[in-house]
Amino acid sequence: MAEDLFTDEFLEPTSDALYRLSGVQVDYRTPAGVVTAIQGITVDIAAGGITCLAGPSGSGKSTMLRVLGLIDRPTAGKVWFRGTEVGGLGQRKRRALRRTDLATVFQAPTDNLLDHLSVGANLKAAAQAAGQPDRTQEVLEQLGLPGTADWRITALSGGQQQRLAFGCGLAKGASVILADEPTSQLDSASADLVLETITALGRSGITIVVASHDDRLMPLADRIIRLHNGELE
Amino acid sequence: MQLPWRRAPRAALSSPLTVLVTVVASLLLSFVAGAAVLHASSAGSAAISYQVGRNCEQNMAPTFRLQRMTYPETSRLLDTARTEGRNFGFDHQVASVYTGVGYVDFNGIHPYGRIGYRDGAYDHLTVLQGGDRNGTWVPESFAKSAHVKLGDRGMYGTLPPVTAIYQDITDTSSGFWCTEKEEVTVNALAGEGRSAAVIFVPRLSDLAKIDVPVATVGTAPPKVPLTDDTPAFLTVVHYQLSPVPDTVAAAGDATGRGQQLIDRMKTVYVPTNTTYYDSRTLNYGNYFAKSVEVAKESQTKVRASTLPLTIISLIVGLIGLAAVAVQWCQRRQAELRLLWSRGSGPVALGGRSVLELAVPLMLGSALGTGAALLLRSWYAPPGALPDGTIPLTIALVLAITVAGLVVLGLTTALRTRQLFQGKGSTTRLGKVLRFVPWELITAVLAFLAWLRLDSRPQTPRPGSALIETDATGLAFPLLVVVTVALLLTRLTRWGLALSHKRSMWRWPAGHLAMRRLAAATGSAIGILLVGILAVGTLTVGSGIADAQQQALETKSGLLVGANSSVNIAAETGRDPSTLPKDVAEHSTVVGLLQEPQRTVLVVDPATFTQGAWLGDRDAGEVQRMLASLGPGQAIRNAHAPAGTIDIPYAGKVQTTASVGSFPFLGTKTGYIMTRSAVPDIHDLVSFQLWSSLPLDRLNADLDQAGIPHYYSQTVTKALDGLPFLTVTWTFTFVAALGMVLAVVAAVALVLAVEVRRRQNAVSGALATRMGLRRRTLTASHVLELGTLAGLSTTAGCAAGLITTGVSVPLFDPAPWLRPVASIPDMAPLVLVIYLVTAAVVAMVSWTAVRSVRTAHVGELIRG
Repeated sequence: MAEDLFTDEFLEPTSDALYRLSGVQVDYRTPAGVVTAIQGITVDIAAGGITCLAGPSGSGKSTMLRVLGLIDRPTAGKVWFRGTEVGGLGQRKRRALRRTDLATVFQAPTDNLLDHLSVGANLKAAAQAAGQPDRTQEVLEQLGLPGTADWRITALSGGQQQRLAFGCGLAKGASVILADEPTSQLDSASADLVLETITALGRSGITIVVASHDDRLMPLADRIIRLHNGELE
Repeated sequence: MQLPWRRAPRAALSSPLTVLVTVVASLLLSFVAGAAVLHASSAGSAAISYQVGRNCEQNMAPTFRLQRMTYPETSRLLDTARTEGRNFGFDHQVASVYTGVGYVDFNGIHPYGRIGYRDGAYDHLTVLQGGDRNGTWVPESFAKSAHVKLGDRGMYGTLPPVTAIYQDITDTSSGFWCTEKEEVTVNALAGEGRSAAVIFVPRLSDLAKIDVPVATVGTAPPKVPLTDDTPAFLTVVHYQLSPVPDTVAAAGDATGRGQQLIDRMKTVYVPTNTTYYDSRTLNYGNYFAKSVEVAKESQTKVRASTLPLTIISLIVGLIGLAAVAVQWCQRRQAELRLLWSRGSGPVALGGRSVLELAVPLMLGSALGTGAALLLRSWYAPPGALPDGTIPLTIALVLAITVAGLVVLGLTTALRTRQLFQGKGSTTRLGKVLRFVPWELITAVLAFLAWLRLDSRPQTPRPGSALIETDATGLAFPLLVVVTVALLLTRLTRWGLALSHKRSMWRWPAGHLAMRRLAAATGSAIGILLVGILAVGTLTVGSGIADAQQQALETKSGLLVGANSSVNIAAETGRDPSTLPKDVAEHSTVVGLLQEPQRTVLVVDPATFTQGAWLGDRDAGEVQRMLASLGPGQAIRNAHAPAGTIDIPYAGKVQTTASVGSFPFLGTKTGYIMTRSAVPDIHDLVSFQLWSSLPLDRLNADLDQAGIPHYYSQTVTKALDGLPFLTVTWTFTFVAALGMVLAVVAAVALVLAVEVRRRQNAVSGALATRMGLRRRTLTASHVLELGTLAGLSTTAGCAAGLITTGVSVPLFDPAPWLRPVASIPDMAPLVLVIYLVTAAVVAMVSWTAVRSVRTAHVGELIRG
């Protein structure tokens, strides 16, 4: 089921490629000088299913995820999203895409939620951000968290919080959810619950891109992109 | 509005420290803004109040005066002035009509006197006998001379019967009679017939019945009927303003209306009798206009000279709010990143911080405004607030609050843009700002301000009694303090950058302190800058304000010679034993020999120190110096020639000592002798009574004892104190701003330690478990904070003291009156500043060490 994609033969966006990256390089300026996080990344990511970005720490997974999430711009190369070159897109248009199409789940569960809002209000806030109708109850049912709408965030376990983070993506009607090490701070049981959610979302037609070195995720992935030292392996 | 923004105000509750810091920053910011407006307004009103105190209250409005008028002409003038006065808002006319000084008939006796009428006069006379308001009131001195009894009728029966005998008027320094000094008081020293007490009639029309002119001094009393063609009366029109103007605006309005009234009167009233030169044109005065102009200048000067520091303080406050925003971004980074990933832009995230911190900010603004209003008496001169001041204050505070909100939003927007969009614009701007040689710019400005001070005219401008210091010159001390602060912070920044190359492990406490300071260079530099500004402005503000106050007191005291003084008749001067006991115990009699080139004081060594103004001179020393003078000996003052000198009535006199300045003489050329040096005291004709008593009490006591006196002076009115007070008010506010900055510096020190509390606790706890002695740890914290605070305090004090010493003589509005203003005793203030600094350092160090002592390393590492 898993399919490794490390090719540079796609030069034109194809109809089924949600993302297309061509020769992407990202540099960071640090006090010690310029550090290249990823370079020469040329890859297509198809719509739907689960794509896993795999590799050891420092391999550039998170950077690539940030490029896909339209948070970072490539220093060199081009990125297409739904056939549109987004690397050079203006901030306003990139924000619009983030608002309507993309959702990001960060590593720490608490970083994905607004701790001063209740569970339901978090889902509502996510929906509002994308201009979507409020489907709090429905999403909570889908996440297996019925009856928690009025709970405080701190009343949820780490796993529940992380599932709720994916739920926020669902609530805002995102077509792509980008998750950065979503299980790394969870115990095994909680991580299983999150993996279940990821699987379910992947099957529902949402494109899931997960950066992780959780071995349990690999069998669930439709595609695996392996990175090493910032380059495709 | 989306939920994260709508619920933002409630989210603030999750961080009480941020809320508290925002409230305090906003409070101080609003206090400075509000206090600046209130201070400037109060200064204007205080200047007006001061001018009101120096002017006669009936001189606040226009005055009309015409001599040698007939009764019908007098009536016409009064009617016209009354009608026109009302048209311009001067409803309460005070008309005074006097005959000239001449022989006034009573019981066939004709002492010198004058007959007069004044609106409301009977309400302001002290009745000794009788008191019926329908008759003539006779002054005591006249009644004694003419043996006047109640019921007598003067001027051959044309005056109403006498119904009261009143105490002669002697004190016209203020109040109802202030404008009438020349008309109603007797100058016993001026010679007979030159002045006379007034016999008051109850009604103006009573003057019409007098058929004998009294203005025939030096001639036998003729019995010539008055006719319309016989000019006789001096008519003076005043207006009583009620209430007396207490603000610049009200005073300006009064003088403006006054000028309009004068212009109108010049048009509508033309004297019909042109026989005499001095009755051809109406004399008028709008005396208060000049005072109002001076008060306005004073207000403008205070406002202009406090503006630079006010702006600096506001910028410091806004930078403080920017720091709050940066800290907020750090604390809310996860949330901001989440919202950013959901498509929110910098502006929206800036709005998020504004919504969260707006309530604390506005609360701080309200508290700051309240504090500015409540503490006005502490930082501003006493003065009424003009209409519109409070709304203006609130408007300015609102503007500053809005500016604060903009700073919060803008800082958050730039910070999030930098964090998530990878834009380093603020960092680049910061680098550019850091390389601008600010200290050179302020040093040049300080030099230019000093040039203005140094090149100021040495004589007053026409129409002024004293030299005015311009607003640019007043900025000099502040610019020096700012330059020192900026220079020292730059040197410290370089020093801390270089400190990485230094290792001082042989002295662990010193090394730890240095490393901690270097690790937090930004906050250390900020605290140092605000600390130096605070201490410097506090020192310079207090120093210059005190120096000006002292200079005013010293110069006034030297000018008058005593707290209060009056000229007395030669008989009293020659024989002071006639003085009342209370006066004698607090006064001294001084004979005067005034010549064009020199003045000789003839003093009584036994009583001199109990009456004369000595300032900070030791009374015993002065007494010993005077007592050592024998016959034929004198003390020379200032630059008076030494050796044997010729002094009238004393002959050849030998100078035996010299003084730099002396009461009354100041630094003018003169000599001081004792009464025993004048062989015949009867040769002296001019005497003054110098007293430590207040003037009103001295006048009252002398009146009661029936001792003639004239030309009273008091230290409170000797000099126009406004130029002194303008500088004092300016620097009192500077000192107040220094206090505010000191609070900012102390809070910043506390926060700097509090923000690093966890980091300090971890490193401290680990270090102590690795063998660092607790005493060394404590010493390192004390050294770290003590260095910062000590450097701020020492640099601020040094800059403040030196600048005060340089500035004070240059600010002296009357350098020709010695001594020139000099730096006051600053030791107590400096001591207090060091004690407070030490207390703050001790408290903050204790909290830092306490956080280490109570830390559980395991928990801290786990986070």
